[in-house]
Amino acid sequence: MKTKAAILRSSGQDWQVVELELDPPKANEVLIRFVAAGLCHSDEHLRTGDLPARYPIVGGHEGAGIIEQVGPGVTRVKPGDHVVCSFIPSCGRCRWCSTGRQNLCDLGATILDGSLPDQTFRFHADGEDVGAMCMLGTFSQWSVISEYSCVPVDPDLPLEKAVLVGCGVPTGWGSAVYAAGVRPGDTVVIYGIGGIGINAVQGARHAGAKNVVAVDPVAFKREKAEELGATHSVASAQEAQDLVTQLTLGVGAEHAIVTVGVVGEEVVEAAFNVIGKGGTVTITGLGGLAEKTVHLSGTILTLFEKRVQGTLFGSANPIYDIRKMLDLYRAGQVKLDELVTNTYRLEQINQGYQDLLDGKNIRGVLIHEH
Amino acid sequence: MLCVALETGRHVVLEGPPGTGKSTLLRATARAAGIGLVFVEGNAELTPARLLGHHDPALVLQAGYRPEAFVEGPLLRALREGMLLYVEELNRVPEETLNVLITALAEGEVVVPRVGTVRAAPGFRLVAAMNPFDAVGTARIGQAVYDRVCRISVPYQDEPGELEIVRRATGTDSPHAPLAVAVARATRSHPDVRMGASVRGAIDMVHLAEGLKRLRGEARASAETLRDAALAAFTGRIRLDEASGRRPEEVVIEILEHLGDPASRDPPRQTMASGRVLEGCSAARALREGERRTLGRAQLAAAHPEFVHLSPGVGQLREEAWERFWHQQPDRAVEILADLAAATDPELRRRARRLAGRVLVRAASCGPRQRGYRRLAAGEEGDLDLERTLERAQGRPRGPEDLVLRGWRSAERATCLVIDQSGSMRGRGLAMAALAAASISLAAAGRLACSVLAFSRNVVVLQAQGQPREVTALVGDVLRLRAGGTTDLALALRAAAAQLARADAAERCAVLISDCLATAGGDPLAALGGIDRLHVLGTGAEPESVRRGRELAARTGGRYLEATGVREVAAALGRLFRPG
Ligand SMILES: NC(=O)c1ccc[n+]([C@@H]2O[C@H](COP(=O)([O-])OP(=O)(O)OC[C@H]3O[C@@H](n4cnc5c(N)ncnc54)[C@H](O)[C@@H]3O)[C@@H](O)[C@H]2O)c1
Ligand SMILES: [Zn+2]
Ligand SMILES: [Zn+2]
Repeated sequence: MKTKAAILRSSGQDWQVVELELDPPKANEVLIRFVAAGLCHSDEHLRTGDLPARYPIVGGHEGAGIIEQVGPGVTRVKPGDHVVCSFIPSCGRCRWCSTGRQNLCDLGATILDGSLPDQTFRFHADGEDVGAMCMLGTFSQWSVISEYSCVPVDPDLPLEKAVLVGCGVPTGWGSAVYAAGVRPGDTVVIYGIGGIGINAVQGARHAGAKNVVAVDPVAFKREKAEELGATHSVASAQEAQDLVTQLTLGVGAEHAIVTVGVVGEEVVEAAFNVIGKGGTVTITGLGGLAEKTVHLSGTILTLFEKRVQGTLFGSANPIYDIRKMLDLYRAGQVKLDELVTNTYRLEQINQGYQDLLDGKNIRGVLIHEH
Repeated sequence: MLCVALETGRHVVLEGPPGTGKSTLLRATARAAGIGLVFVEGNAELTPARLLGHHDPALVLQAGYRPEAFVEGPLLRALREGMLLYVEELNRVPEETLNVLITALAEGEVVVPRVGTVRAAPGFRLVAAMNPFDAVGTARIGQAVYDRVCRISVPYQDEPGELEIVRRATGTDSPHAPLAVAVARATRSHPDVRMGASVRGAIDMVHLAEGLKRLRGEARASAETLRDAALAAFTGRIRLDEASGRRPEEVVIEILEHLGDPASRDPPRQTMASGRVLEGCSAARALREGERRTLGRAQLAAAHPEFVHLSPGVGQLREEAWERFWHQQPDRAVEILADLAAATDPELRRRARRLAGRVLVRAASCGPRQRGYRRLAAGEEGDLDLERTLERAQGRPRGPEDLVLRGWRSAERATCLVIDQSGSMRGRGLAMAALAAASISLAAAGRLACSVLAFSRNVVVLQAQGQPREVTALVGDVLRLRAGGTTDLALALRAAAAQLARADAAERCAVLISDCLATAGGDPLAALGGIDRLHVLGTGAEPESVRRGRELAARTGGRYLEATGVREVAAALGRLFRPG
């Protein structure tokens, strides 16, 4: 079948909306009609080349849609099911899945190649194989994906909101709650209030943090952060340092969470300095793959027992936590409606990413037309 | 500014608190420019007929509608003769009269039945004054007016300016003038005061202090004397925020004590009331926060066996099935509908709210309604509706019972519905409240006579007095309420009194729908000030709940009615609002 999709032909170019040929699902694969796709900064990393991918590739790894057809052997979903996609598949069998670390599933090996687990491609342009970001390609009207990327959700949830729990919400929320392990009374500093950081704010608040300090140069982001649970917001790392010193009487924060769009040395160092003894820096944001972004005094690390760690998908479990986020939304605890700042048509994708770079969006969402 | 605006033929609204010299300013300007001035005091009795003019009934009955029988009102005079029409306190003018004014401004002419079209002669201008702190009807002087006028703000003078005014007005160089001015100014920024005192308060205080001092033979006014003078001069002038629960005396004394201690001249701190009254944006926010918690299909199915039948799939609501259910078991039916209106499924939620709006408004309309026209009863006021009188009496009215009166007098009765939103009010309670809101809003017939509040710990103003809303939208908002929290009945009653105080009505009546078991705040019986009559629709069955509800109603001569179901509520409200 044919589908319209936004692809990158190589790094450094704009998104191009083209018509592609889409193969039917093979074993353990499904055909999904995407209803909505979130505009996450990770796809921007693909465009700039920070993340070296195989090109051409269909973008988009935050997606929600409805299953139209299933290949042989599929048991997780059936046609008609509403699904939120996980940007890391979880097979349930590999070493990581079977030890409770589904966010590290071995099937994730090809997320930047964009091939399906059998190493072949379902999208084609004039005979050439086209990959799918995170094996999803949610910037396409339709896609064929692994059943292990699917998390069925209740059909009464609005998919154009639920789409955010495919990446941004669990990654941010989990960065605070699971990866950092924020505890009641903690002081938490969150650098960068985009689709990820705003949810780290929500998570830190839920975990009972005493002070949730949001750092972002954009005023609109700071206001949004306060609306969603930040107790303080500042424009720069220096102001955060001063504020935390004052709030904790010089002790320092328990946690710093780095969710800026492009992670560099400076923000990591600022995060390292803002935490006190026994504190933890959690790095969620990405930077250039080859770049060394963590340059710190190892002796301070040792003497103050500081810790620096990374986290993928907020160390959450896709199958369990995607649904849990939606349950929390239903209960009025996790806010989703406020996170969607603008919606776009597929053809407006470059505008959407320009708005992300201009700091206009907490999250922009593509609404697909069929 | 005013001179230029008038010279260039603009219409003007002067906005400022009372006592800032708006009318003095206007008179002086008009005199200097040699423009004729027609002066009208704005109040609720300023009907269109009084503004435009009317036919003298006696002459009409004698000789029919003849030009001589027409008595010209101030608007017509100003239009014809190209004069300045000055309307004071524009915000207190009834809606209908305001519309007449807007038409005159917009079209430069007015059409008077049986008189014809009167065009504005050159030189016609409207100058209106209003006090933005006056809660009465200020909000509805909306876009329509502001679009057509220049707005000149006349703020309070600065401290030296006010001092000078006091000195000139009292003709003395009294040593108390600075204190008097300081008190007046402090009333304007006090957190519990809605409307502070003008410089006239300071003038009076100086006169009183000087007089008392002489009377009591004091060389220098004692603290006692100053206090008495301040109390007499200011307590009647300031309007308190009713939700503060304080008395003007307390506030004035607090200000005096504060000023007596020159070390701290910043405004006194707010007294901590437990809950807050949320209106406008903050009310909308509270509603939005409340309705975040929604119900999934699994939860709905577990709570109501009928659910799958009524909503077989996502986004579906079988309205005929529900209507059948409603005829058999109205209370169960509305209980479910109230829950459906809180569904996660946005489409189902929308449909349920729409259905609820329709059904509840329909159920509420079955009750008797107030009509726009009434026959004249002895001792009543209002404009005579000549045409209808003649029509009814076939041209020959014989006695007062034949005269038809147009009920312009803003409202005979202002009503405030107070909905208990605390823990005990779920499903059915909410539906009953929504029905009550619909009934009361319909009974007010779109006029400025009713307000609706919901409360638990805080009070949320769903409809403010003087700002009528579309009934279905109001019902929709009631259904967005989520039960929970403590019951601060006293705060709610004070907030109701505050709403009622904004209305210009002969009787201020509140209807409370609650189990009447207060769990927070003060004694509700002590919070009935400003409510002429409180009717209680009791939702609690326990003896304690009934006893308290009866006691509350009895205190104001109101009635206690049991609200056991939606039909009962409709009937009870019908009984309460039956005319006569
Ligand atoms: N680890 C994971 O699993 C995972 C998942 C998704 C996204 N990510 C990464 O997380 C990062 C954030 O993604 P997003 O979609 O929220 O991006 P975004 O562009 O929406 O938001 C980034 C925010 O950071 C702010 N910012 C930039 N530099 C800053 C600085 N020095 N200090 C403070 N604030 C700064 C920007 O103003 C912006 O508001 C990206 O690098 C993305 O690739 C990681
Ligand atoms: Zn992402
Ligand atoms: Zn696995």
